Amino acid sequence: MGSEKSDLPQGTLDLLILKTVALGPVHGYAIAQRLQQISRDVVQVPGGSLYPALHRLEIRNLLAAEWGQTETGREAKFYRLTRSGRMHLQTGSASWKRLSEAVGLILETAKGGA
Amino acid sequence: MNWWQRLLRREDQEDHLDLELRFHTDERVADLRRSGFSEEEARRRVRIEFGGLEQVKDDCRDARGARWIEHLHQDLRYTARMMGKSPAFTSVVVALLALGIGANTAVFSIVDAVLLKASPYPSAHSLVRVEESSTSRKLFGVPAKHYQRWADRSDVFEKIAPYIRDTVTLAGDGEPEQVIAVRSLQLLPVLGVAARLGRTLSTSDDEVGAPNAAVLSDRLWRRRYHGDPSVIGRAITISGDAYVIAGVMPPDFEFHYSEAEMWTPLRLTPTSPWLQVAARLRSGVSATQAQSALESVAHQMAQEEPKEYAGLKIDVKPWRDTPEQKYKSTLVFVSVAVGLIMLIVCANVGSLLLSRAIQRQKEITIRASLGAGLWRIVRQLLCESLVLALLGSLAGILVARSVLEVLTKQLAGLPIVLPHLKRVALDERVLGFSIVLCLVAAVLCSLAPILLATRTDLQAALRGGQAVAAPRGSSRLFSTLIALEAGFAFLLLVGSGLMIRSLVRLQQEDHGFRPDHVLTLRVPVGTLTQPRPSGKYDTRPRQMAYYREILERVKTVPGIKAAAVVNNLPLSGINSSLSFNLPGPDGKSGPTSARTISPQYFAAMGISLIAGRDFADSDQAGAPDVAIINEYLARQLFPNRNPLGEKLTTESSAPGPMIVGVVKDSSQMSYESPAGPEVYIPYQQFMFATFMSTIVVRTEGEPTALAATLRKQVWAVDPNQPVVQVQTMDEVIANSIWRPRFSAWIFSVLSALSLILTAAGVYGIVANTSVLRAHELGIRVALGATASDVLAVILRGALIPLVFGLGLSALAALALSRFLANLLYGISSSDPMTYVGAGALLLGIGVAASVRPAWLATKRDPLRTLRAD
Repeated sequence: MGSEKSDLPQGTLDLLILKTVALGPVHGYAIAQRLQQISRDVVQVPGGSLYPALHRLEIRNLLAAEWGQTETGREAKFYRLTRSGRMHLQTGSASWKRLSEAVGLILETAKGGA
Repeated sequence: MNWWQRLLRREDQEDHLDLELRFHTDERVADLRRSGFSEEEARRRVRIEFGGLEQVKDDCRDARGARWIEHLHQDLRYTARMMGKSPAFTSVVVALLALGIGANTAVFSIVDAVLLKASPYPSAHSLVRVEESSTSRKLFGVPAKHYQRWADRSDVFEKIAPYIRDTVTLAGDGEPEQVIAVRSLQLLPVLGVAARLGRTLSTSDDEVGAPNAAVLSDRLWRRRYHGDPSVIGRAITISGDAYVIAGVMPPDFEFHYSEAEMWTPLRLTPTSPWLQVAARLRSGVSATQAQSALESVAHQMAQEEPKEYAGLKIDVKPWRDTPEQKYKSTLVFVSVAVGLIMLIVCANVGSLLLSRAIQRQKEITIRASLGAGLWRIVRQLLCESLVLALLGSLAGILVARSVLEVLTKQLAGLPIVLPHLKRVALDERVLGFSIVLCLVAAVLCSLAPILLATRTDLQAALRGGQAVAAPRGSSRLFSTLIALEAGFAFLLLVGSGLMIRSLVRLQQEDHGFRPDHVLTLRVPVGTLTQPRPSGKYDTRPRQMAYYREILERVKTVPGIKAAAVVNNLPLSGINSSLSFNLPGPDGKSGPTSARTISPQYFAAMGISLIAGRDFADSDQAGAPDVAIINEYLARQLFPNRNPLGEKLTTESSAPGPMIVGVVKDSSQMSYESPAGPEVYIPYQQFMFATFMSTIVVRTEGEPTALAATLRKQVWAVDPNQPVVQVQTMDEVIANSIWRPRFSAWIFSVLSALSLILTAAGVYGIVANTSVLRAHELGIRVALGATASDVLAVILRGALIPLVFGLGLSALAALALSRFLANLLYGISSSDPMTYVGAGALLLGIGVAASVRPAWLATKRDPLRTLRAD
C-alpha cells in the first residue's frame, strides 16, 4: 500500500461514517471497507477508532443499530441513519464545505502572496 | 437507558460488543486470506491493525458511558474472589463491623426517637409554655391566683390549658395501683391531639353535674383493661371518686410526663396546687409578642399589689418536649461511647486490611506496573472494604435488633418511664444512618491500605526477594493504628471509670439514713388536687385516725423493730413543703421542705437524733405544736444558739411550732443533690395531703418476708384502701439513682468491649509485624542478639506507640471530661485515680497482648528465616 494516508481532522470521522451509512443499513466492517474504497485508500480507519465512534453515534441517537444477516448468512450489527442523524449529516457537510472552501481560499491566497 | 438498566443489561451489551468485533475481525481475516495470506499471517495482521481487542472494547464501553460499570464489575468479582479465598478473615472483619455498626445503629435509634425527632404536635410553632418566676420568692409553678389574672388574654392566647401532675389511685376493678394523672380540661385540645378510641376532654366536662371523665393512655388501657375497646363509658373509681372512661389515647402520645397514664379534668380553685401552663398562641402572635404582653400584665399586678407580686416575671417560651437535662446528656455520652467503639473497630479492621494488603503487595505492584493506575488500585481497595462494610451493616442490623432488645429491656426495668421510647424503631431514618455509617466505616477502614498503596515504590517492591518484606511506611501505619486504638479505648475507660467511681461514691456516701432492713408500703388516701376526698377519709382527723390504726396493728407484727408513717418518703422525686418563711440556701425566702411523720420514723429510717427528743404519741392535736429540724436548718437559723425551745416563724403572724429536736441531714428528693433545710412535724398535729403516705418499718430479718403480713394488717383496718409500691428502702434508693447506675452499666459494657477489641488489635498487629520483621530479627540474632533482646525490640515496637496514644488521649480526655462533670457525684472529672487506673489497665492489656506473639518470634529459627530470602 504505497499510497499516502491522511490523519482525519477532529469530528470528520463522524461525518464520514454518517455519510457512508446514509446509503443504507450497513455493518461496521463494510463501513471501514467503503471508506477506504471511496477515498481510494487515503482514509483508513482502524477498528480501534471506528467502533468507539459507531457506539458514540449510536448513544447520541444519530445512528440506530439492529442485528441482521449478511449475504453470507452471518449475524452482524447493521447501522442505519436516524432522522436526527440525517439532519446532523446535512448541517455537518454544509459547514464542512464552507470550512474547506475557506481553508482552500486561504491556502490559495497564501500561495499567491508568496 | 438508566444506569441500572445498563447495569442489568450489561451481560447483553458485552455479548453484543464481543460479537460485533469478532464479526469484523473474521471478515477481515477472510478478506486477507482471499488476497493470498496464510491464516496465521492474516490473523497477525488483523491483530496489528486492530490494536488490542480489549482496548477497543474498553473504548467502546467508554463511548457508551459503560466503562465504570465494567470496572465495578471487575472490582466486585475480584473482591468476591478475595473474600472466598479467606473466609475466616472475611468473617472476622464482617463480625467486627457488624458489632460496631449494630451497636451504633441501636443507640442512634434511641437518640433519634428521644432527642432528634420533631415535636409530635400539629403546628408546633404556636404551642408555648407559660412560666412564672420571681426575684423575691420561690415559685415551683404558677399559683392559681396568678394564673387567673392573665389567662383570659384572648388577644394573645387562642386556647390556654393549666395542668397539674397528680398521683391517683385506681381501685375497684382489680389490684389497686397508683398512676400518674395529668389534671387539665383543655390540655389535649391545646396540643391538638385526638383520642384513638372515644374522645378527649372538652369544655362540656366542666359543666355542673357532668360526670367525671377520664382519658386513658394506651399503656394503661392495655395493662389494666386488656385493650378492651368496650371500656369507653365504663365507670371506674379514681382515688375514691366515680369516673367514666371517655377515651383512650394513641400509643405514641406522651404528655408531658412520659409516665402520665391518665388525663382528667381540672377544676381550678384559688387554692389549687401550683400549675403548669401550656397554650396556643393566636395566629399572627409570636412568642416574643406574647411575652411582652404578659410582662406588662406582671408589671401592672406588681403595682397593684406589691406585697404579693413584687419581682414577678412571666415567661412565654416555645414548647419543647425535651427530657431532663441529665437524661439528655447521658444519651449523648452513650452515643459518643459507641462512636468510640466504632472507631476502635475501624482501627482493628484497618490493621487487618493493612496486613492483608502487605501480603498482597506483590500482586498489587504487578497490577500497578501493568498500567492499572493508582486510582484503579485505590478503587479496588475501597470496593473491598465497601463490600465488607455492607455485609457488616446487614449483619449489624441483626446486632442492632438484639442490642435494642437488651437495651429496651434494661430501660423498661427502670423505675421511671423514659420519654418517647415508644418511638424507638428501626425505621428509614435509622437505616439511613446505618448506610451513612457503613460508607464512613468503609472509607476509614481502607485508609491504611490506601496510604500504603500510595507510598509503594514499584521498582523496589518488584526487586524485592521472594519473601514478603515489610514495605516502607507500613510499620508507621501499624504504630499509628495501635496509638489510635489505645487512645480511643482510653477515652472510653476514663469515661466509664469516672461513672463507676461516681456511682460507688454515691452509694457509699452517708445519706443520713440506714436503708438496710427497711420495708416501705405506700398507703395513699386522696390526691394532690383533692387531698380530702369525699367518703370515709374526708377530714384530716379521719385520715390521722386511719394511719394511727394501721400503725398500731403493724407494731404488733413480730420481727418489727420500729414502724412509722411519713407523708412522703425521701427520694420519691417530689417534695412537700410548708410555708415557714425561712430563708433558703439561695437567700430567697419561701416554702421549706417538710415531712409529717409519726414517732419512731427516725428509728425506722435510721436517721440519728442529735439533740432533743423524738416525737411521742402525746404530740397531738391540742398539745403544744412541736417540730424537729435537721442540722442544716439548725445551723442556718441558729448559728450560735441551741435551737431547742426556739419557735419557727410562719407566714402568718401566729407563733409557729417549738423545736424539740435536731436530727442529722438526710437525702430528700434525690440522692444526688445535697441536703437542704428540712422540718419534721408530728402527723397528729398537722397532716399534708396523704396521697403519697408511706408506712416505713425496720425489721429484724429479711424485710420482704414481712410484706404479705403487713399488707394484711393494712387491709384489716380497711379492705377497700390500696396498698401500692411495696419496696425495700434499698430498692427505693436503687430506683432513685437509676441514671448513674444505668450510665455505669452501659459504660462498663462498652469499655469491656473496647478492652477486648484493643487487646485483639494489638495482638494482631504485633503478631503481624513480628512476622514481617522476621528478616531483620534474624539478622539481629545472627549478630548476637539474645531472645530477650528480640522480645524487647518487639515489645518496644508495640508499647511506644501505645504509650504515645495514651498520652495524647489523656490530654483529650482532660479537655473533654469537663462535659461529664454535671453527671458526676463527689469526684472531679480529672480524677487522677481514674486516669492512672485506665492508663495502667491499657498498658497491661498492651503488654499481655504483645508478649505471646513476641515470644513466638524469639522461637523462630533465624537461620531458616534468612535462608528463606
